[in-house]
Amino acid sequence: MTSLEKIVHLATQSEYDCIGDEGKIFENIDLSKIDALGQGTKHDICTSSSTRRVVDQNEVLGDVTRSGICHSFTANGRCISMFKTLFTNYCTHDCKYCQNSTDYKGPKSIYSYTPEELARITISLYKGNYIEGLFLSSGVSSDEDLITEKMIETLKILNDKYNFAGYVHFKVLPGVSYEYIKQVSEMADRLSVNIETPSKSYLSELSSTKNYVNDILKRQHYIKKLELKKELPAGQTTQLVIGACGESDFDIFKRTLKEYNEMMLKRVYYSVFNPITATALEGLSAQPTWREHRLYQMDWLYRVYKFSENEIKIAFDEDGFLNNKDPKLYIALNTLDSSIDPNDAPYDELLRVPGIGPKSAYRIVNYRKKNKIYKREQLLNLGVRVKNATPFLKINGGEYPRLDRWIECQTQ
Amino acid sequence: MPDSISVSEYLLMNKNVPPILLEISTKISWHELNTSADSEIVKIRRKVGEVRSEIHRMRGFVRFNSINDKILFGYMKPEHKIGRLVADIFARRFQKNMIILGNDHRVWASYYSDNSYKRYEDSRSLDEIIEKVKSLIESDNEVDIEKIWQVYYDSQYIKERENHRLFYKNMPKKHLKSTGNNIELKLNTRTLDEYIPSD
Repeated sequence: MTSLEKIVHLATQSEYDCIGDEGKIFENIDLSKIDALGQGTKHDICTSSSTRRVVDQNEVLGDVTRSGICHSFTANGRCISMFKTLFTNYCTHDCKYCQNSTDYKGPKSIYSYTPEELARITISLYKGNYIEGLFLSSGVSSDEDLITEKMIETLKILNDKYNFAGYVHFKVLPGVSYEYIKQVSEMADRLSVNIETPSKSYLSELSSTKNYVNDILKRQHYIKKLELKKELPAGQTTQLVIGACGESDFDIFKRTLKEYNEMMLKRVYYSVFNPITATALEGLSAQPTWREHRLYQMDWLYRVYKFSENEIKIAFDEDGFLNNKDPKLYIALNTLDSSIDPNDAPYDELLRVPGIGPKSAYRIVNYRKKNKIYKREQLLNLGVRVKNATPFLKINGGEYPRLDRWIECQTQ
Repeated sequence: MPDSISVSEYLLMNKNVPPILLEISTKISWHELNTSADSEIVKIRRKVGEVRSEIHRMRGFVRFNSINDKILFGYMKPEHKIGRLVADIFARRFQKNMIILGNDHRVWASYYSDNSYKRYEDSRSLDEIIEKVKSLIESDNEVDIEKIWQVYYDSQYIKERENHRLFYKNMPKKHLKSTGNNIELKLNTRTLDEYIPSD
């Protein structure tokens, strides 16, 4: 143990990472700006803070983790792990669902940070352990390249002045030049361009100023090209607004496949549409949050469980929508003809049983090397949700006839 | 989470461990712990899980104020014996800053620089230690950015998606209490009772 005096002395003698007059700048900061620019990102949900980057240098401030950390939750129950903000809410696009749109009829106050100010707030929140890092997005202002330059300057201050090593998620604005994307790919953990809709024609219904192929897909392709040269620690992601233009879940699914397979995306995020007063779409009804939930389940089945495209297709109805039921259960009822014996079914087959996930399937495969599975309690100890799994399993000779399985699953 | 820490070291941090489990834990690897269905090992898995989960929550929910920008202090009263480890984790995250965590009965301090830790523990209260530190450096220049956080936190709320059950599941009162963190609770009570005028 070291004495208290000695540690205090060590800590206060180094000038490193000091914000200096930090206290002063916050005395006259405009809180309504923090509020307005924060509100501008509240529907952006791609804020996981997990990254493959490893911080092992001395003389840096902060670190990152593989699993990510949630520092808070809103009353919506959603994780806040970043200081998520717009750089400015001044925008010259006319997206019909957005309160920063040129079409917005309500009262509007335009705010903008300076790079220095934004960097200081980020560092202070970070040192208070409120956040894992910065999620920086923006209205395009009068010119997307000019505003991106300022956003990049913020990252430079964080890097050069404060030696910041925490997480950075950077929104690439539609239409930004390759040169800027290249610069920022060297400083951020994650880059994303919001595709907003599953296709060109759907986007043109929502915005007359954004071009789907040129402004969005082309930028995604730039990021992919950069990623092929040098790995982006937390990859590229995107986000769609769900239900603002009448698209079906199947349209979204098809786009999602392209995003994963052709653009090498790490994640696709879905955010259900909620109408905002005084926007062009204020009269359109809100989408139920369960739609988002079912889309994520579909996404998980494809990305994590490695279900094939054709298997997942079974879960959509004839109009191309998912209903409010667990898609994995629905697919299992329609495809698993005979009961599965946990003692010899391959990993992939175990994963198709409702109530068995990647972790418990992995445990079963390891456990059965030395043990025989003959009772439900063993499965419970391996982390299986036994109630959901039993109708599909053969345990010690016992199994459900197919009709009973259907009846049993009706109540789940 | 540093996996260089063994299963039994994690288990030892649990507030309540039967000796028999401790003995078993010295003989098992992380892989065995994760895959076994043996009922004793499953018990160990749960107890280790309790410890790791509390560490994770503390990393998320502890808040710091700072003195002179270099000394970060915060309230923490964990259920399990994780004070020293959590102080070290923060010390490493905020290199060359002094971390002081504590409550009415216990204080853990840690400082990390050039690949080594300097540690200090005390059975006095956090308040007493902070007073002591302020007198040592002859400064009480506390920086408090709670106000900025409150405004930002409120800005992220979406009325249409209110879900208090999910909030409490993710931010259980137990953990908010052990990190002395009540801003979120206060702010959410306000959205809940918005008809009742505040005094």
